[in-house]
Order: sequence, then C-alpha cells, then structure tokens
Amino acid sequence: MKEEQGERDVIIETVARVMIPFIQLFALYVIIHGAGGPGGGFQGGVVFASGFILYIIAFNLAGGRKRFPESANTILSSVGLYIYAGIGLLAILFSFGAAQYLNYGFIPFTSHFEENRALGMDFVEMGIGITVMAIIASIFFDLAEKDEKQKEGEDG
Amino acid sequence: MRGLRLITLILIILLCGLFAYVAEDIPVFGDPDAPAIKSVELFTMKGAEGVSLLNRQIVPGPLSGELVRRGFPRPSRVEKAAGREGEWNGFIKKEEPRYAAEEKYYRIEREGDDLRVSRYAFVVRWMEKGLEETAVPNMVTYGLADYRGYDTLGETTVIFTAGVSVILLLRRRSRL
Amino acid sequence: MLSFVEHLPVLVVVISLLSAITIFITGWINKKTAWYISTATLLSQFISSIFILHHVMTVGPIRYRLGGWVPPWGIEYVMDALNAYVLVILLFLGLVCVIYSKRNIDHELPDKGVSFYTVYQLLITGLCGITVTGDIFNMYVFIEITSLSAYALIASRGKIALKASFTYLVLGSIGACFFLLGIGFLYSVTGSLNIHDLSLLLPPLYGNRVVLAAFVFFIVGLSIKMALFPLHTWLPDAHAFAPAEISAMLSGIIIEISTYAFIRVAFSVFTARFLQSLPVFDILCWLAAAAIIIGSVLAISQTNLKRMLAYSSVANMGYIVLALGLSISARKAPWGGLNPSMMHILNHALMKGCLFLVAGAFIYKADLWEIRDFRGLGRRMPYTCAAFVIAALSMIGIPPSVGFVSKLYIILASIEAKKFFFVPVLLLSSLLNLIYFWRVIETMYMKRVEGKDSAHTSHELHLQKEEIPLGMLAPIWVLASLCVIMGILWLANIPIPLLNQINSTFGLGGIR
Repeated sequence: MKEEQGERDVIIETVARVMIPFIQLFALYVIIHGAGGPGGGFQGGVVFASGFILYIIAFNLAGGRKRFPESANTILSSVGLYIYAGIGLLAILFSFGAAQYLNYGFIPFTSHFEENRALGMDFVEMGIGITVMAIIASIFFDLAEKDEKQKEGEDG
Repeated sequence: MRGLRLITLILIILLCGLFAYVAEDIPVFGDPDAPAIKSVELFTMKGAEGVSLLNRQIVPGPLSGELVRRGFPRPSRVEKAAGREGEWNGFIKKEEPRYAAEEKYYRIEREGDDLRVSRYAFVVRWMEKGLEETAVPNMVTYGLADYRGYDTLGETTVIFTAGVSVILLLRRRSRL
Repeated sequence: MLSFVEHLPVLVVVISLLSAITIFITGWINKKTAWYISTATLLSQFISSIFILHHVMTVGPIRYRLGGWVPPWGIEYVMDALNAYVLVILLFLGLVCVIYSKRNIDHELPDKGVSFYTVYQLLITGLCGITVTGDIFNMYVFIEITSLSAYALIASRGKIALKASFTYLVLGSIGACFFLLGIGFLYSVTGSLNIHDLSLLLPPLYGNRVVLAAFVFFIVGLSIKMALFPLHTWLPDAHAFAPAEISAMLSGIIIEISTYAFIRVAFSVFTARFLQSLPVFDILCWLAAAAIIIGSVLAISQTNLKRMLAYSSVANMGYIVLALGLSISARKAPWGGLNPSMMHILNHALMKGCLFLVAGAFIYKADLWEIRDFRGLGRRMPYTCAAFVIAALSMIGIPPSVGFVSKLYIILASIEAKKFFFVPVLLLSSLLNLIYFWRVIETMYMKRVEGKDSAHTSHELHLQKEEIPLGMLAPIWVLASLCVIMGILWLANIPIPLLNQINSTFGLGGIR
C-alpha cells in the first residue's frame, strides 16, 4: 500500500483511474446479464468489489473509506438480502398465502406468469450482487485496516 | 515432523484404497445416461405382455402396482417416447400452480422380453422445460435462482455471515 | 390454498434471517435495539414452533414446496414429529439464552453487541434451517451457516478463544467436507437430493459401494460435528472459552442438531432395514460407551468448571449415541426405538444449558473459572448455586430429575436389546458424574474461605451476598425447574404419544 508522502505511483494511479469505471460497469453488466448469458450476482458482486479494492491499492485506505463509507457498506450488505428474502415474502403476500415462498410467478411485475419468474430472478440476482459486493468490500476494509494499524504500531 | 509425514502418507494410501474400492461403482464421468444426468433404474418387470398395453397408452396394472408398493407416485398415463422404438415415458400428476398438471417421470424401456423401468433425474425437466417455464434462456441461472432458489438464499446468507463474522472479530472502534 | 400454519416452517427460518439483517441496520443507528429485536424474533419463532408441533400432532406432516416446485424438481420442507420436536427444543433454548445474554454481553462484549446479536440470529437461522429441511443439499447449506456463525461466536471472546475457534474451524470444515462428499456420492448414483426421494431410490442400491462409502462419509462428517468420542478434540476448548450463552447453545443445541442430522440421514435417507444389515450401530454403541467412560474420567481431571462441563458433554453425547445405537434393536413402548435418545436430546439441552449459564454467572459476577476458587460461593450467590445443585443432581441421576429418566430408559433399552455390557457402563458413569459434580458442590458449600476465622468470614460473607441480576437468574431457574418438571412429565408418560409418532415415522418401536 502506498503512503501519501511522496511515494505515489503515477502509472498505477492513472491506470486505476481509467480502469475502475470500466470494471464497475462490467460488473453491472455481469449482474444484469446473468439471466441471458454467463454471469450472475455472485460473480458480478465480486467484480464490483474488486473495483474498490483496486482503488484502495492504488490510492489509500482512508480515501477508499471516504468513497464507500462504513454506513453505506453496512446498509448495502443488508439491503441485498432484504431484496432476496423480501421477494420471497412478496410471493406469499401477493397471492394471499396461496403461493409458496420464492414463487416469483405470483409477484405482479407484469401480467405474464413466466415473465414474472424471469423478472423475479433478475431482482434476486441484483440482491445477491449488492450483498456480495458490500461484504467483499467490508472484509477487505477490515483486513486492510488491521494491517495498517499493525504498521503504525511497528513504526511507533 | 517425520511422524506427521508418515501419517500423511498413511492417510493418502488409505484414501487411494478407498477410491479403488469405490471407483468400480461410480458412474462413468461424462456418461450421458448416468443417473445424475439422465435416469436411475428402479426395477425390471418380467414378461412382455405389458408392451401391447403400453402401445395402446395404458399403464399395465402390475407395473403401476409395483411402483406404488415401492412408494413412488402412481403413473397417470404413458406415451411413446418421440423417435425411440421400444421406449415409453410415464407421466405423473403434480400440483404446481399455473403449470401443466402432468410431468414426465418414468422411463419404460423394452429389453428383450422384459420391461426396464427407470425414473428421470430432476435435471431432465430443467433441461427440457426450463426456458418455457421460467422465460430465462440460461440454465445455470434458472437452476440456481428458481428451481433451487432457496439454496442460493442460503449461500448468500453464508457470505453475509462471513462478512459479519469478520466485523465481529476484527473491526475495532465501530458502531457495530 | 395453504393455511397459515403450513407457511410457518419457512417463515420460522426467514423471520430469523430478516431479523438478523434488521439488527445489522438498526444497530448502526441505535445499539440498544439489537437485543430487543432478537428477543422478539425468538419469542415469535418459539410460538410458531409450538403451532407447528400442534399441527403436526393433530393433522399430520407438513410438506412445503419452496418456489412452488414439486420435489424432486425443487426444494421441499418436511415437518414431521421429529422435526417439530427438535425445533421446539432448539428455539426454547435459543430464547432462554438470548434473555440471559442481555446483561452478560453488555459485560463481556460491551462494544460488539450489534454484530454479536446479528451472528447469533444467523446461528438460529442455520439451526432452524437444518431442522426443518427435507432436502439434503439444503441441509448442507444450513450446516455451513450454523458452523460459520458458531466459529465466529466462539472466537468473539477475544484472544483466548481464537485457538479454540480455529481448531473447531479446521475440524468442522473437514466434517462438512465429508458430509458434502457423501451428498455428492449419493447424487452421482441416484440423481436426486430430496431426502424422501432418496429413501425411495436407494433400496435397490444398498449393495452399491458408492452408497456404502457415502454412508461412511456421513457418519464420519457428522461424528466430527457432534463430537463423538474419538473425534471430540475440538469440543473442550471451544466450550470453555466461548461466552456463556454460546457455550450453552453449543453444548445444548449445536452438537445435538448434528445428532438430529445424523438421525435424519440414518433413518430417513437410509432406512432401518439398511442399518440392520450392517454392524454400524453396534460399532456406534461401543464408541458411545467409550465416550461415556473416557469423557467422565477426563471431566474428573479438570480444574476449570467450563472445561469439566465440556468433557461432561462428550459423555452425554455418548448417552445420546448409545441410545441411538440401541434404537434398532429395542422395540418395547416406553424405551424402544428412538425414545431414549429423543428424551436425552431434550434433557441434555435443559441440564447442560442450566449448568453452562451458571458457570457464566460465576464468571460474570466474580471472574471465577477454577473450581478451587468457588469456596463460599454457596453463601455469596445462594440462588445461582441452588440452581447449579439441581442441575448437577439431575446430571448424576437422582430420581424425579430428567437425568434419571434418560439413564433409566437407556438401561432398560440395553437390557431389552440383550446388550448387558452397557448396563454397568451407565451405572459406572453415574458414579463418575457423582464424583466430579460433588467436588464442585462440596467446594461451594462446605469449604471455608482461607485465611479468615469462621465468625468473621460468615459475617463478611453475609454482607458480601451478591446475586446476579434477575435477567440472568430467571433463565437459569427456568431451566433448573424444568429439569425436575420434565422428569416428572417423562415418568408420567405424558409426552409419549409424540415419541411414538416419531418412532412410527421411521418404522421403529411399535410394541406397546
């Protein structure tokens, strides 16, 4: 990890600056595209989180935390699971108890049963993507913080 | 250290022995008719008198009785398998809202004078009907998120648990 | 149209999961909400589990098709008498432990409350999931959740618990790997993952080597998880260093849910007929006898109360597995089939839960870990110590208590199965129990505090009388009184219809 005092690597910073938007755009593509082709929530989430990790490696931890604060991290990691579990519950609610948990077809996104299933799956994949992204970022921040603290301890 | 290596060696030999013992009965990898992919054999019925009944799309009584005795659902009707001589598909009634009330379940093959009854693996339905039932072209996605969607909820929870565990163990000076 | 009760099996799991993530968000805003949300969730889960048990007993098993897919194409939840019974025990002890943990966690993990309750709720999610599921891969997924959260909760104490947790992590992962390999083997020969479906497809394949290997993998993997004797090495440290309520959950529920998973695999995936054709359960009986004796002997040699209780857990898992091993040969009504093991699953949860919570109370109030430091505690903390005495007497097996009932029925079952060797083993273990619990009771009540004359001591101790807060004392006393009440209920044969229904599900027992 580069410290800020004079050790900044211009090449890495520039490349990271250019790459990160593309990495995250690609991650969104992987998540959204999961239904039609290769991809899905787990993979897309990890790719998205790798964008943050690249930012932290190229710049510094504090900057990364500023871009993705702890509060947002906490909320996003729960929100993904809320979407997944909530969509399952919506199926029960919208059918007044006739359909089972996670029976996406009964959630009235559209008028068509099979389309509802496909859309339900899309939302679920997005939920997975959000949770995986937030959790991977959170684990990385925690480990990196620990590392940085140890370095401070050695210096001081 | 040497003791550890010796134990490792013994363990590897034991595992190799176990593998050699088991390998004989493991279905061949890549076999398109392997149970996990296609169908698992249930039993063989003696006597070919059932064939004429099967050709008239009637389930023979002894066959259906034997299936019920073993705890399987009673076949509701049989149908000739498309493009294959001497092979029939047995259907069962199922209760799934908004979907066809019958589903392909048994596979009955003629083998000389005998009838071989097997059951289709669940993957067969995924492969054949997944697109029309879920409107998603990617089999991995609809297998993962629809037919076995609840497992995926569990796996997402595993990842969430890992993240919260790291917060519990490593994070200091946090509000959590 | 499904009735509300039929939705409850899945709601029990999902509410728990939703509550975990809600705690995570609201805890960010206000730390104090965590405990209230957790308690409210567990209370509602406990009430729903009682509804489920009532429905199963009166109407019949609940089959719930997740996502609307009929098995074997989708995942199925099956609630029969066994599930429902284990679910009630699990949620009851979970509720008691979470009530206890309000003061204890404020004291032990003052700034980690939110993540603690989140992981605790995830642990409950996993345990409920293992219990209610009717799909073997789904069971594996929930075993993962349970194990992960258990590792984290054990390690939450800080540095001293890290090594214990790491040992458990390594061994637990090996156990989970074996379980997964077993599932893979079964899938490769049958192409199915549904438990009921597997039980139909397997009989023609009983001679198949892959199936035999899968069964062995299940036994080994779940034996690690349930700390059966030669594979129990992770257990003592993990129990000793975890926070009190986690020790109680670990000993009272987590290893017993693994036993439940083993019963499910042995009797639902495979059948009693398969087990009778193999000597597996005889071997399990002998291992269990070894566990009972060696666990008790090692418990005597411990100086730390929680480690002593942990070794006692090893011995008690021996009781459960011994009763399980006898289940296919003993068939007469009150003790035949799974009855004694089912009884001891509940009894052990009550007794060990109470004992570990009391041990936690000593640590909370005075940071006492070693048994020799307990001098005079009987006067300082009279109510806590009284509860400890009741639970300890129950462990020893004094008549109307639960420990007596399970020992009696295991002895009767082993006599009926004509395996007379296990009768002296059980009697000897009672004696060993008496030795190690009496040592604690003696130290608490009869030994004087050193270096002070007796009159002065008693005066000072009278002033020093310091009881734990009511929020911790009430759960301890609920469990201690249930140790006696349940014993009387068992002896009066009141819950026997439930156990008979469990036996009839698996074709065991049968002779009234």
